[in-house]
Amino acid sequence: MVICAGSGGVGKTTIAAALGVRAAGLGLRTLVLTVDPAKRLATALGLDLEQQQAATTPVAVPLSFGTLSAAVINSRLIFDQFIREHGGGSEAVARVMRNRLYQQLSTTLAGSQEFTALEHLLQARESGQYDLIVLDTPPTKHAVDFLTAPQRISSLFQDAVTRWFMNPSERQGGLIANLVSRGTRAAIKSLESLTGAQFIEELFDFFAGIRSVQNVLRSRSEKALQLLQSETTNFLVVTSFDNAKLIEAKYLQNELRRLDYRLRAVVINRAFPLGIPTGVSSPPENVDHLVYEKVLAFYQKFNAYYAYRYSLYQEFSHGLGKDVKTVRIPEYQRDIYGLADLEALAGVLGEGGMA
Amino acid sequence: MPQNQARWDSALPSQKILFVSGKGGVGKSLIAAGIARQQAHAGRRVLLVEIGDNSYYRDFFGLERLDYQPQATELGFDLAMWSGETSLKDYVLYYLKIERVFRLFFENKVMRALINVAPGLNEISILGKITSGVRKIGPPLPYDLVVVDCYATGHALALFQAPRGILEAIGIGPMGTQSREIESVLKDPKVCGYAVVTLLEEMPVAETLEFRAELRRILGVEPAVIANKVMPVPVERAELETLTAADPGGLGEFAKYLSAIEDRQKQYLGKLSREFEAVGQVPLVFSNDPKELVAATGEALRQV
Ligand SMILES: Nc1ncnc2c1ncn2[C@@H]1O[C@H](COP(=O)(O)OP(=O)(O)O)[C@@H](O)[C@H]1O
Ligand SMILES: Nc1ncnc2c1ncn2[C@@H]1O[C@H](COP(=O)(O)OP(=O)(O)O)[C@@H](O)[C@H]1O
Ligand SMILES: [Mg+2]
Ligand SMILES: [Mg+2]
Repeated sequence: MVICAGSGGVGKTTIAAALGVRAAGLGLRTLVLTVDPAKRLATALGLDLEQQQAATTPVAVPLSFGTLSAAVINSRLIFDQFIREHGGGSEAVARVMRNRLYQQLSTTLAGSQEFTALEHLLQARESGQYDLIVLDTPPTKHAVDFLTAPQRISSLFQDAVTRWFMNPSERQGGLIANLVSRGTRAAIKSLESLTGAQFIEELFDFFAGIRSVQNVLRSRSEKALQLLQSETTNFLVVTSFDNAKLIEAKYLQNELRRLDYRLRAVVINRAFPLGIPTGVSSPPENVDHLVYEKVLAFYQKFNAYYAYRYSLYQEFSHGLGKDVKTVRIPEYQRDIYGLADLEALAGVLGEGGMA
Repeated sequence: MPQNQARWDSALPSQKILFVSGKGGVGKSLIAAGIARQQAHAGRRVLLVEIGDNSYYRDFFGLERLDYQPQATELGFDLAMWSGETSLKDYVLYYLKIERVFRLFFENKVMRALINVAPGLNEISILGKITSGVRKIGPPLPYDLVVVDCYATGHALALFQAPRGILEAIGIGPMGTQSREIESVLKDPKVCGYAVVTLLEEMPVAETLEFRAELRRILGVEPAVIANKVMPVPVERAELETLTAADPGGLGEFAKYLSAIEDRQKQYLGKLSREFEAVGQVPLVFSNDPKELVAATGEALRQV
């Protein structure tokens, strides 16, 4: 398993797809699970985005060599399915689905996207159909959010917490249950005075409904955590190229270590532009010297800028340690379009020792 | 590059809040800082705010700390980071007044779970804080302009959607009232501005257009657009082409590269110009120094 982590827009989806192409080319039965692929990339992978709104089944990618499947992770769909499947009685399920807060805001529910991505990964893994699964990760507000999702989800649905949200008839005097400590009671009272009783009611209702799936939610999160920590799961951090982003990548690396995950590689995307001559000779006779000088000065500025960045990179990769590979991917002059582009990118990753 | 008559920021001087969003990595944080600096130089009291739980500016500016309380910067504006939790705390403390009740509130396990899970509570707390100056509610915010380095488009839309979402779930009570107030502030173009930053590339431009459509739908407002990292080609196109022909293996190669970049930029700038009345432009700045970058960005966006 390979998990592509990193902050938004750095090229996770593209790199994940290219890795999939690479692995399939090496003869592995590979699945790529993507999040929000660019239209062209989706088309290249043979994914019909409309159709993926309604199904979670992977499609076969028409590679010249190897077996690659691809699917889009559809958070809303998987979450709904999950609740239906594990909700036990239909009453509890109906209750969550009916809950107005859930309806309005279920996609923004803390951790729900991370949860569904992991759930999709688990399901694919349990199917036993693949030698390798490449997981692209959803856009979190911060890259580290994805890593801690299983722990956060389990802790939210601890019984000690949800036990509290019993069905309303068990709660006496409106919101206040006997079981609850005085402290909690007072805290809830103040929350109620700030938000109004209706909000609290909806929230309780939501919790009461979700309680029916709490055990499954937790056990799946724990399974996901085990999977993330297993020997066969490799993390790959994709990052862009500037000081703050590199500091962020370092931070991610530390978090990965702390959480007992395995960081195998850092991919620095768009590290340098492609198609720049390495040097220039003296100007030819027939050229406008003023123009030549202007372009030359610009060329030098341009190169100095990327040379400085290269030194940043060297410092960074030294600090990473020997067991972590680093690869720099150039900035292409146009978007990554078709399978041919992906194959080329896969080649660059392969040369960098990524596969 | 075609130059529009209208300016991307024609409404900005009277606005009090500016949200800066865009696809991940396009330059939101840098542009937000550039705007903050430029507006501060124009004489306004400016607060630059980043939202969420992790700071970008702390590392970017090499600060020792960055938290809820605004701190002065050398760039002329103040800087703060507001998370859902700190914003909610601020609000609760202001209303509950008593520190003891407040503690009880946040140190209670059930309460924490509730706050973490409650859909929309984080969002509404942050928006509540951002709009608190305008609504004259809570602790005073002595600024003429609050520039918000907002989430990337997807999460930003979820943020702007939150008041409506809460209103539709629960219209009555204090939450309803707050949400209604916040929403009406967000919808008022005299008070709130929205800028979407993009690169002149396919995906960011596509996301820009989707973002605008959603903003129109959710809030009925029009964002301004800023094209970032525009290659500042130093000579005319014909001159590039002549050079390409004259010096094929050498500098002409670089000229060819610039022509290709220019072509792509023209294509997407054309697309944006057909969709937006004005397109702000910020060049790619060849610097790795944060203050220089912010200064250059601000300069590029300076008002005429
Ligand atoms: N090395 C590269 N050179 C040029 N364009 C790139 C490169 N990597 C990614 N892109 C483009 O950047 C955009 C965003 O990439 P994407 O993989 O969707 O990022 P993420 O999944 O991290 O949000 C896409 O349009 C993609 O084609
Ligand atoms: N106009 C520009 N010239 C040079 N570098 C830029 C420019 N705009 C942004 N950058 C750099 O690009 C990177 C991404 O910008 P950032 O502001 O972090 O984007 P976002 O907040 O959208 O993720 C940063 O390293 C930033 O300094
Ligand atoms: Mg993606
Ligand atoms: Mg940013």
